[in-house]
Amino acid sequence: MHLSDVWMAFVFVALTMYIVLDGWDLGIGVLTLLDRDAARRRDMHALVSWLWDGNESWLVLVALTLWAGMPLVAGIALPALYVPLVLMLFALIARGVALQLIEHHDGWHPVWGRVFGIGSLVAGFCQGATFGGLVAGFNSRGGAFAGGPFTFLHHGYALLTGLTAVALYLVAGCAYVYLKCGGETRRRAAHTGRVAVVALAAGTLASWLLASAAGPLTLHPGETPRLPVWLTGALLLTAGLALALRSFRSDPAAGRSDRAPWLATLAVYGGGLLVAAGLLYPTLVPPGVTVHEAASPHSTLLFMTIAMAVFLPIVVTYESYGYWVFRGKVDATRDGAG
Amino acid sequence: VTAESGRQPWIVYGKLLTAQAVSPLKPVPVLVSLVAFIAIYVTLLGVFARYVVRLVREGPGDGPLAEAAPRTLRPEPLPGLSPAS
Repeated sequence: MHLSDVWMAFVFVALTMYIVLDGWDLGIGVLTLLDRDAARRRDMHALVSWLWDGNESWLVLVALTLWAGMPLVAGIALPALYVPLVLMLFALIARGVALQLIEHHDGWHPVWGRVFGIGSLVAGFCQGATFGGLVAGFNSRGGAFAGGPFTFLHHGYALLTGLTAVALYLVAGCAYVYLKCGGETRRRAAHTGRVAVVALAAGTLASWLLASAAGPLTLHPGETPRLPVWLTGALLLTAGLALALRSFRSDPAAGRSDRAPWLATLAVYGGGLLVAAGLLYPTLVPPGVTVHEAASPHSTLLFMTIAMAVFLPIVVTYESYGYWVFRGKVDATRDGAG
Repeated sequence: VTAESGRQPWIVYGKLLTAQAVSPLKPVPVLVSLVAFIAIYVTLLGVFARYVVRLVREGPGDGPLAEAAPRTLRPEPLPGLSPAS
């Protein structure tokens, strides 16, 4: 095992933490677009407002671990994905400002509320499009991206993965609301969650089947070390989707299974990441760039690995503490009070 | 400006030229994103200024700061600046 694999594990952990943590708060943003009731929107905002910036710090870590540890990937992928990434940044900026301004406003601010929702939607969509664009692959020449600003679209494949990511985050947002809220907010989240699970299943299947057709990517799913990994991932993903569909219950009496949709969402995330890793590793930018080629020199990686080994547990600890402080349900008694 | 003009044309002094390090991006997306960045930040500056002006006009009200400020030192609100009351 090479040090670049260890570093890749850091990238993978940061990416996983980001999509799991920021996924639900982006999803809740989309959810506020689907609800017209000010009190429920305010409750959903209250869920997000204390934790969203901590969640987004993982995105910074993803970018930095890739940039510092895998400079070749940053060099090819960032120019290739410039359009969706810049759009995502704009959406995240607008959304962050909106979150803060809503906080200083009594009730639900119509304009900033909309900005929060649309920013969340666009950010999620762009992240999915970035993933699709990257996975389908880029032709590079001498360590540099060779293509146009919209090459990443791959004849619309990136739009499909973008929509799939929105569905995924919506499922996560609904599962989180289902866990943390009660009453009508929870019932509506269950309903939206079921629809989103179906959309997510369809989007995932289509993204998977079309991945090789979309760009220069070629998969070898039958190779021995790959097969068990992605098959396990696929099973976990399917089980997660099935559990999510079953456990989003509109019946308010079924209070005991509050956690089930959230656990199902975690299985979906884990399964999806395993499928992607199992099919692609060690390729980072299909078709040709691998983890080992893309990595920084050994001394750089060693220095940064020691730093990460110190700081990663610290970050995980204080973020866990934040979640622990805000454990339990948000005030659902205000439901329907206007 | 001093740091940059002293360093150019190197991006890593003596090692790597800026011209060698620049991303292979087309000029149009870069220009569009730069303009969009400027537009967004100018808009946000405007929003921030409006928010601060509104806060100042409303004054400390009955909050904890109102207790802290000696009454004699608090200026009377100007007629034109007072909140709609």
